[in-house]
Amino acid sequence: MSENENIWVFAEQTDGRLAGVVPELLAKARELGKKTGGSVMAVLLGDDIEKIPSELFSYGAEGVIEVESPNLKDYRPVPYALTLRTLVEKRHPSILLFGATTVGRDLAPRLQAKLLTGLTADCLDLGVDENGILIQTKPSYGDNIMCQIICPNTKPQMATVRPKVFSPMERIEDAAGPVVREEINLPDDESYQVIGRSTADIRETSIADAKRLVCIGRGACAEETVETARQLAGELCAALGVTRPLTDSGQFTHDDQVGQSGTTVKPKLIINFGISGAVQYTVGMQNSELIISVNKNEDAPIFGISHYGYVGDAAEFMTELTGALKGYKK
Amino acid sequence: MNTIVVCVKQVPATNDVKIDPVTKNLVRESVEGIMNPYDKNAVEEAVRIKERTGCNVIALSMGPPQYKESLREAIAMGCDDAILLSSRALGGADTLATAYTLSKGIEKIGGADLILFGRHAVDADTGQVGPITAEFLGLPQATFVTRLELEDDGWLTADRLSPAGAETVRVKLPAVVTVTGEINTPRYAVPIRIMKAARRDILVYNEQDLGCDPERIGIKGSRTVVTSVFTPPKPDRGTVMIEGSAEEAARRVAGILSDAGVL
Amino acid sequence: MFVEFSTEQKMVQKMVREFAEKEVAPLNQEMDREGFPHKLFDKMKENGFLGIHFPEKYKGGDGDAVTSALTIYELAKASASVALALDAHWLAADTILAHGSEEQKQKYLARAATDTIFAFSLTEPCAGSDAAGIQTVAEQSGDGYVLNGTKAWCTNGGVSGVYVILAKTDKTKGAKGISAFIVEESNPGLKVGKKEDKMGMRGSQTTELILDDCKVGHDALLGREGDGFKIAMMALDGARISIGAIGAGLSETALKVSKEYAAQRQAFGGPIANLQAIQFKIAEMAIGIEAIKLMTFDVARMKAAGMRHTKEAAMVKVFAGDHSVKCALEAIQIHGGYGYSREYLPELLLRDAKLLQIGEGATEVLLMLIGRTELATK
Repeated sequence: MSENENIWVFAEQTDGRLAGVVPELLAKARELGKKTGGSVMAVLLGDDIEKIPSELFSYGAEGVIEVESPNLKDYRPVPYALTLRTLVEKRHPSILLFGATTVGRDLAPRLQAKLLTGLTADCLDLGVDENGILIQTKPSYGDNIMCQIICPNTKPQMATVRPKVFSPMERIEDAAGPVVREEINLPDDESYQVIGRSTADIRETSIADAKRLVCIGRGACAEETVETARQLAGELCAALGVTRPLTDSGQFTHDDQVGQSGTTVKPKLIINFGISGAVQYTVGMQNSELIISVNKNEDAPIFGISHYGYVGDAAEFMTELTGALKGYKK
Repeated sequence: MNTIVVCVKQVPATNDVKIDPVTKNLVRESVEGIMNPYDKNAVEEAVRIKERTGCNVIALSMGPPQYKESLREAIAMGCDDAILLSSRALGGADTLATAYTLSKGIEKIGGADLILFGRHAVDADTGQVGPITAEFLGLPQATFVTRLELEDDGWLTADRLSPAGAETVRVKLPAVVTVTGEINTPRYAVPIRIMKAARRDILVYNEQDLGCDPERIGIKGSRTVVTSVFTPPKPDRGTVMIEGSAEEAARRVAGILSDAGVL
Repeated sequence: MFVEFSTEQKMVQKMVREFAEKEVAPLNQEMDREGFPHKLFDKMKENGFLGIHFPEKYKGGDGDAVTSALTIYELAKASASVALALDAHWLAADTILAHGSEEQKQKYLARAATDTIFAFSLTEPCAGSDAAGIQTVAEQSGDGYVLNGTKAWCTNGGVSGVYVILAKTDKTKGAKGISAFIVEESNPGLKVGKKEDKMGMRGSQTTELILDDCKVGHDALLGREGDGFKIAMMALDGARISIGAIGAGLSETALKVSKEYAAQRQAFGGPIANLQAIQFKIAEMAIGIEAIKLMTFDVARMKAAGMRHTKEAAMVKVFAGDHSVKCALEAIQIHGGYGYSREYLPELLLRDAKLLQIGEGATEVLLMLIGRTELATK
């Protein structure tokens, strides 16, 4: 089997912490690899990253290509793109996947321009045909339309993939595999410096990582209702998410927003209060495992994508549910 | 700071587009175009810098002749000039071919100290054209920028969205920057400026004017092919509606949560 | 509608639409409770709304009557009250634009375009439709005039910096004895009286004005003595185009919320939009809206071209008023119980729409005007 059937996954990491999307990409890549016969290689760039390969193997990587250099400590577009180009031109993978994160969407197009190949942004689905052509499904027009896109004549076929769309594989403990260490001498990038990072925005449980979510929208935005929602979230050990209108209130920021222009989530449980269910919201949460919605409008589209619905007052239901949950804990 | 080029795209006024079930083509109820909202943020940022530094701001777009509307809007907001890259041969371009053409346009202008884009266009939603253009011009880039400051030493400082939340980067000018909606609130163009902009001629360049490699523009220069478009299917959940008082319903939901093992 | 607007007009329309959607529509129901939106009008001043059709030399936007009709139309989609307040401002300012001396234009129009709301005051407690019957008097005194009387239903009363007030300079002459005066809000003889507690249009403020030995100079007289009635009637011709534009915008919003609701609301196994009863209502609403728009922008073009348009403006006003009430009623009917609730828009639209049959010339008076004009032409 030649290397040029291989599927590469960019192993995005920050300070040694792997991005949440990487296990998702590895799982999907393995699925594609079964059809094309290609191996799934994680491509890891950084400094002080020795602990990451074992993690990548446990999530399904069949090999790791690693470039370690102080120049690659912080993510910077130019050195990262140059390094990847060198690797691609040496090993010719067929497919190269990135998470559609602020790193992936910064880096992938920069690399694409160096390789003069095709790149599809923010994919929601991936498949391959019998010739190994990657069939990429990407949303357009605010997720109202899906496009299938291929890159038939050039390799690698590149895509960025929206986080929380694919499920990671079951973690394999003590997995191992080959690690290829490449030495690449890069001139330092003298035009770009990372001079600070604010971690103030990282929550204990950001809504993207929360297993349980309570979400409130326009129909539950009164101050007392927000407080009641916080109490319910506390009782459920859930994070509190909001829709677009509440991000203007000062109590919440863009980081708390679920939906197309906010964060895509896929928790085990999501309870929606006073959210009508515009497509811009639902695309960001419809893959959640258990969806329960409360809305006083029985026609609200949110019910169409919910497993359970209740027509009634959001605040009243929250109070009752908080009480009922206390009963369950006893 | 002498020259800022701000790249704008015209997008349909509504995202509420549907597929014709027979032809499989997009049905746009309103063909009216508006300037891509994030590009408005880019224009606003450029005009604010112009108001501080007195630099020249040129709005640049690639597309059919009706894209002049958005360029005129950019002028009404305060840009000094606008250029449209337009011809049949440039049509059907993907992000790679678009960025190539824009980079040739920027070279034709004589380069710029700062090139601004919106973070992505709300129709195609790729966000790729900015970084590709940066690569073609050999310039550094800062994407997803929420705050931009020009330093006296020929560098810019920018806050950008990052996996950790936010990071601050310093980038040497000339550079390409893509901006988010948070960076500013775009102004409304005042009527008198609109009137004057409406009466302006917009300079149009085609691929020959730009000296483009014919293999790298339009459909020929594109690497990706759209094979189909479709409306996403709605998942059928077989929704169970819970009846009764809030108290009864809450107890029922607590039971459901308990049974599902999410407590 | 296929009426081609100029690039200028389309661009202004687009800007106003965006402003209306972002800045005005979210306040519509709040204004209904809280009254005149001062902060919003400050934003409108900053963004050049107040003088959109004034010449550039008076700090205006250099637009024409079509531009201003488009502006009112787009604002009215978001809030009929805001559109009405702007219409009332123009009703006053346009009298200065049309009849003022160069000095008066210099003195007032730039203010009207950039920082001061204007109001027009003709109606009195006992003289509305019969405008010639006004009782307010302006008597010559040594260095000008002294105005005395009570005015009613002054839109923008209490929020304006400048008032254009109609008063009788010659009681013996009926309509020809009426003159128009420009009065500053700071004039100690001008007091703002009772604020009306209106059924609708509650985001626009309507008050009494009390003129108590209100002294003004000769330079406050607009045109010549006795020109007042003509000035007022010409201004009202323009304002009636605005009412057409308000009716078009308001009706379109009624149609829009009705369509959205009909597509969403389920009954008898499908959305109610599938029911013929609903389709007929939607169709009737849409047909009338198309007609209002065609008429409104056609008359606006007549005005822009300097043509007389008294009859046509009256026709637009009557038709737009009636159809707006009809659209609002149908919107309520389509929404069923929700339509009857203050939480939803249709009932507000109805309360706003009713004014369009009354203000700037009641339907009945305009029907008389149109009928007589028709009968006088063979």
